[in-house]
Amino acid sequence: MKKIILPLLLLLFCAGCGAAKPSETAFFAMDTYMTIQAYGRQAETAITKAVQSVFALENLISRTRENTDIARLNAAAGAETQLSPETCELLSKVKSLSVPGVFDPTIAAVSDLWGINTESHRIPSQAEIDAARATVSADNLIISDGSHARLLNGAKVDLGAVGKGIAADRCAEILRENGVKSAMVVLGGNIYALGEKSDDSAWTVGIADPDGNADYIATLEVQDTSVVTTGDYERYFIKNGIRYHHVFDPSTGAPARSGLRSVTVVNESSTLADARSTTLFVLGLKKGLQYCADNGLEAVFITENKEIYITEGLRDRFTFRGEGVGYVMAP
Amino acid sequence: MSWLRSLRLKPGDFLIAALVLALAAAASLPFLPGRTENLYAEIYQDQALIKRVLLTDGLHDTITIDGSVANTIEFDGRSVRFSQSTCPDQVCVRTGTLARSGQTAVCLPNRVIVRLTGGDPEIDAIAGGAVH
Repeated sequence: MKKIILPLLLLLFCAGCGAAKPSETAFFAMDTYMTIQAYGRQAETAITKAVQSVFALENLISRTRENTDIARLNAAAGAETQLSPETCELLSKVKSLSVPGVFDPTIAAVSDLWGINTESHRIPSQAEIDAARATVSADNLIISDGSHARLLNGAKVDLGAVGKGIAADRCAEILRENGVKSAMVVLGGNIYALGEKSDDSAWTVGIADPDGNADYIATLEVQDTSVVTTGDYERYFIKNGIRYHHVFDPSTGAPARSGLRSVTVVNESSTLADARSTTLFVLGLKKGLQYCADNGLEAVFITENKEIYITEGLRDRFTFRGEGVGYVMAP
Repeated sequence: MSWLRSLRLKPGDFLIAALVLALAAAASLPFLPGRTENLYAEIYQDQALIKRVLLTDGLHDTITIDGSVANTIEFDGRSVRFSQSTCPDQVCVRTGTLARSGQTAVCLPNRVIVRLTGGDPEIDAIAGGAVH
């Protein structure tokens, strides 16, 4: 009997080595759809908690829903508004990420004016643009203490450029806290690759083709990091052959015309990656590459001329796949 | 390797060990990722998986999903698409035909997701893909 026990134990052990099937869910939040795939014994519970945290976050920062913290702050017309400590912390964080004239959380008046992705989208007059643009400045957002804030000079807050990033960071944190070591979080094209795949290899993340002719035009091998893309093809309308998209340049009060189609940022913080993909898109290629060098950021730029530029730190994990659909790698 | 010798293994022991390893390998085969060739269309509405269809040659079928709007989903061999929708933006219909694992089409108004799984996905996710 003894002779049998050891091999049997070995058998059980080895059979358990095979990669298990992940737990997964797909859901709608923040005006997009999201999927979470996680491995491990507690994956199911962890995923449920992560989904709940996204819903909870949306109930704080959505500006289209009634009575969220951000909706109340925007509706208060400059009056001091009591907010949850969590919202105040987020506002402080986002304010600290603002770049004057380039990336600004008080862009709401401008985005409302253009109405991208709503039925009332239109091209506003220059006078309207100037009036809306005048309200945009992170300095207009005053966070008085840990639970109060107010907005000056008619400014309104829109956390659209960082909301999914904040959500992805939360999901990653909750999954980790609940013992998940391997997971893929996809929040409307905003990715968090947690740990490694179940077979201990890196995750392969594609970068979308802005023209949609291919599913992706390059891949990145990543682990324990977020990958976030901002592109002009995500939300837009076309009038007289011109594309009016959702990435606004605070300095012009109009969709950014920087010569770029998309920017993808790879960073451990999805909030930062989300904010900086927008920042770099507005800056354009030349200033964007300089910004990356100055701030230690890793990014992939796709230009209107179908050229792809990448920062040095991504070379080893980047594979170009866009030959078939007309893209070229810049030297 | 003196510890191995101290076990005084007989030829039969090696045979058992080899057998065990072979059995273990066989038992873990179904769990290896990417092994299955089968391609499935998974249809979710509001977070719940409502249908899982094996996409295979010869398949011709359509289903209608009602909600705030009505979607018609057409299965054709190893592919699937939103063939019709009563929604105003038609994003789901314009997404076109899905035929590779990992591809997704979504109807936001109806909260319906069609996702292809199985097969041998080349990549794990797409950044900046399908935002609507």
